[in-house]
Amino acid sequence: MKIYHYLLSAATLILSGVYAHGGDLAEQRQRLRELPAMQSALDRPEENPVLRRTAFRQILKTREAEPAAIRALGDRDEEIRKAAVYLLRSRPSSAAEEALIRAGGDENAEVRYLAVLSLRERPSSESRNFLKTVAARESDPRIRKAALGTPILSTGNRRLLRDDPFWDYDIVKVGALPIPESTLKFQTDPIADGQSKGYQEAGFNDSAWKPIKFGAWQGQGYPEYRGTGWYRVRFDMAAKTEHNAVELFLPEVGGSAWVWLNGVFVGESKGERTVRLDVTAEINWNGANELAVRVDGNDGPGGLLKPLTIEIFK
Amino acid sequence: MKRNFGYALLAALVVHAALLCAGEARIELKGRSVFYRLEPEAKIILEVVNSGKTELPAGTMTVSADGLGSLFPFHARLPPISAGGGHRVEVPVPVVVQPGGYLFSVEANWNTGSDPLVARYRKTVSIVEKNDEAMPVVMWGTGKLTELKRIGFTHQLYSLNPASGVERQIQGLDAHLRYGIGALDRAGIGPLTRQYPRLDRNGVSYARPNLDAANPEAVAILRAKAGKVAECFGSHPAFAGAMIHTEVRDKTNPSFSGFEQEAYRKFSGVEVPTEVNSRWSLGYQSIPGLPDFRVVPDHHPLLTYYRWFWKIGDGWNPLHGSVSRGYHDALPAGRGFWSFHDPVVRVPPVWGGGGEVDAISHWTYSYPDPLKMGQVTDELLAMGDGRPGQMLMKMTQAIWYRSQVAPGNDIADKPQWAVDKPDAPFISIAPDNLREAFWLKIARRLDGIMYHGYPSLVEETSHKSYFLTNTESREVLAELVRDVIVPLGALLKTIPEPPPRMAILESFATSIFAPKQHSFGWGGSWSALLHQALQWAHYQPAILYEEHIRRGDLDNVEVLILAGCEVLPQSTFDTIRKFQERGGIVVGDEFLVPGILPDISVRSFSYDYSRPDRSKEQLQKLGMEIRRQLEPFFTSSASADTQDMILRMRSYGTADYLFAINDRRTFGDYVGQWGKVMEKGLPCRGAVSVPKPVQAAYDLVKHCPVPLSPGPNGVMFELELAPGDGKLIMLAAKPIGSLLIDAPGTVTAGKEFHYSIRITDTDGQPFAALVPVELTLTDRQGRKLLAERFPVVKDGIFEGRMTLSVNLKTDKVRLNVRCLASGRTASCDIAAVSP
Repeated sequence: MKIYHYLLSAATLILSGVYAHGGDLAEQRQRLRELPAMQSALDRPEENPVLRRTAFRQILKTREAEPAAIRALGDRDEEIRKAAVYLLRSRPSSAAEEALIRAGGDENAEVRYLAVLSLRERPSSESRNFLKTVAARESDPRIRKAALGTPILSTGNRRLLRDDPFWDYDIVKVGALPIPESTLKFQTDPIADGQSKGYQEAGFNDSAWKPIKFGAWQGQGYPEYRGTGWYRVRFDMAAKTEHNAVELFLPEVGGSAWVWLNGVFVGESKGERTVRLDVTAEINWNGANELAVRVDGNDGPGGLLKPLTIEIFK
Repeated sequence: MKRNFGYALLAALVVHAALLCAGEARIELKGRSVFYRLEPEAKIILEVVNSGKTELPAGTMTVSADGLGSLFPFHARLPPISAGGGHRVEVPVPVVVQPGGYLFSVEANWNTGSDPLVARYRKTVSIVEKNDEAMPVVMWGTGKLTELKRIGFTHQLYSLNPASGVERQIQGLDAHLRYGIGALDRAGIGPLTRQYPRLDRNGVSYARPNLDAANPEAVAILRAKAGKVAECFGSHPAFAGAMIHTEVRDKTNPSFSGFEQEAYRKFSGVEVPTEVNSRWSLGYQSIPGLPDFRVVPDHHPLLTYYRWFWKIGDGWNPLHGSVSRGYHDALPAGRGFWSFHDPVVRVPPVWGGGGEVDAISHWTYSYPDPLKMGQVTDELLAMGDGRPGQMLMKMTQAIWYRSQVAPGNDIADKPQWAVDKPDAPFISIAPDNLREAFWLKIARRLDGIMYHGYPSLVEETSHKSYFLTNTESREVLAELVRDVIVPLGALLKTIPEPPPRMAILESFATSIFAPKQHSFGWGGSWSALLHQALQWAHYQPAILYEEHIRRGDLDNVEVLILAGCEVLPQSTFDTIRKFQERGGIVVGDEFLVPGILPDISVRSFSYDYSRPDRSKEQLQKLGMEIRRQLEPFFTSSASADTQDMILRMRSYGTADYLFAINDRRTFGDYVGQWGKVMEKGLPCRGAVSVPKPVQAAYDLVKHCPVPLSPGPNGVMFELELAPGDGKLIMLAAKPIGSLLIDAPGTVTAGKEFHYSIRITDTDGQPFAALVPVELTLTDRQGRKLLAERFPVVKDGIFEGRMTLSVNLKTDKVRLNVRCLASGRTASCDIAAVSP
């Protein structure tokens, strides 16, 4: 029985993972208080990752922080590289800026993202130029947007009449106006800065935009395009009739859509294929209206895949 | 012949006249007929009603009770009672008697001439024992008292209404008391939501209506309602508590009726931010000006607002407290009564949930992995830390959603219940799952446990949705209550939680600006899954809020887990960096805010609900990978050679209390055919290591020592666990030496006496731990005279008080004590003297 228990002890020792040098690692970690020890731990790529990260954290509190962070941008540990970017963000030197620009090309998207966020705060032409390059060439849309510094804001869609729990009456469609395809125009927006250019504004000059029909843009001259695209169209509304709500109906959208009517943001979809938006307040009766739709295409057919309609309800 | 007829007629007339002159009367019982043994001022109220047409003269009343003989003669004089009137007599009830039913015989007499009037009445008055030490086992619902008693429930919900049928409800409370079940009123909102709705910025009620809980009129109405219930029923001890407002905050939203806006203005000095339109903020990506690196100022306007809203601003927490005070203020001082609110952690992680109720509770569905129960219970503990002294209770849902565990009927090997009840929307919890969930929750320090779903657990009723599909589950619960809660409940309530050495941060800022990261009490977030992975790695992570960190609770923590902390407030960020500077270890994931370099990295995990076996395997692997990296720097309090044995430790004095729970499971034949839940437990055997100088170990459920062997830096022992089962092992620095019980040699019946129980270690020193014991009072033949008690001997001594019944049929009694750790027994004899 005793032998059995001793064998069991040994097995548990092994299985519980208490390695022979475990105690040593904890002591070594405690001893990382002097710069040479820190640098030594960091310089050994094969060293225990906890020790290396502890060493790096400690170095960042010393006078060697900036050169160490610059060197660390080549470390194989992406967390150390991220910490290096974070440190360099607060350093005004040109060496730090150059290092951040290099980090903007890191293989890890999170490192690149942090580098871009850090460079946004720098006014130098080097940083500005680098950010433009990132905006044009970066594959990660989050990083592209960060380089542009103009995220699209959304505040949520207005509640439709049919969803109002205190509307106790039947709702009947009393009119429908198809959005004319004849005036539909399209513009790609590969670096997603259309909003900053005013594509959504009423009165925007879209004369250079190309005509397009409803349906996937891939089949209409943009076969490989996977990014953001804008639509603009003008239509006239008849004289005002009795109504309780006016809705814009987008029966099928390939991607995520943001919609403006007469320059006012009226709502968005977050990838739903069918979208219905309340435009009661924004519609111009007895006059011209301008509709702008921004679509972020996904992997499938992109754009406004079916004709849109203005619907009137009572 | 004629003369005889005449005499007969005269006699009849005389009798008739006598009857007319004598009148009619009856005796009725008003109020209670069940009392606690030793209850102060116990009395029954008898009403003598003159149902005749003439006034009754003064009379007398005598009350006697079978079995009490000369101990209880009661006499009272009755005043004249007008026709149709009544007179109440309060009859003291002897309560220092043996528990049981006593037939009270009441006789009222009036000297109304040659034919005196007599009214009689008989009623059984019951004396029942009270047990304040017991851990409450609450049925969150209403069921048959006999069945609840059989299983071991101590409380159930029982709505009380002072507006009608008070006598009937008093009798209902009597029935509860007779069965030893406390009745908990249900304080609801009723139609007030329609009358006082929350309003959005347009002045319109929200699509999902909710009460404007900050409206003082609504508060006053609900508080007064609670007060009326307490005034009407508060004298009945079976009215044990109240559930206050369940599931109300799911539909809360900022109310723009004026009250909240005014309150926020007073609180902050500014208006409600214009960005506020719902209970949630916009995501951090959509908020202009939010720092890129996601560390926000502590006083960011939205953070300030939402912290206020979820703590007190929406009015619910203050309202719960107000209603609770409504009950308490109308009850006699010192009266035992507790209010509770649930589900308390279905909110962002900020203290104050439930307001000033006496107890907070939360419920959990134990599928797909019962370990969820442990994780959510830890969230409950975290919430409770904000109000020390508030009781904590944990509920298991005894109903399972059919749609989530056994969807559809198109399956091979359909179990019989699915054939018999193919459309049951809710079915019974699986028995092994109930067992395991039970152990996981009592491994934490709780003040009570609850179960919901009487028709699915005990017996079907007229409930349209809950069906009983597995009768074994209720028997499992009965067994657990009998074998664990009854003997160990007092101990379980007492052993403290240890200061955390490993903790998971649930960030309020993240829950507001990146709400998908927070679990909201459902146990399904990435952070919750990581908690489970750590349990499988034999760690014991506590859950901390930002408030804990501000309070300094990080000081004793050695490992901090930051899962899904996408946004942090500045002060928390700074404190975590300081934590690392002093040597603390951070485990972080890909969501962690920049600026904190984690010592160990993990990647988030998504649970595949279509493959719970694979998901469990992957989480166990994740847990072991974290352990592999952490092992050189941090030692867990206990470990086992199998991940399916979950370990949790609490401590007191020089003793540790180790809970070992079996999580080895497979797909069974109850719902396993659908592949959604591994509901069938399997036996599990493992070797447990504890790196401490333990000299003795005791199985507190089996009441016997556990053999120890030397282990790495401490001891090892083997445990064998049945499917879903658990064990509670007390690990002591020294073995138990002696057990003694001491009481006076002679005691007068009816007079309280003191006794003491002492436990020493093998060195003769008081045993510095909490040790549960069983105490019984028996007669010469060993028959129990009173129900057994299970006090806790603390630091080697327990001092108790007892009163022998005045109607004892023996002059010698014996006090017996059994140590529920070592199994040792001791006793002392007492001579009982009549009063």
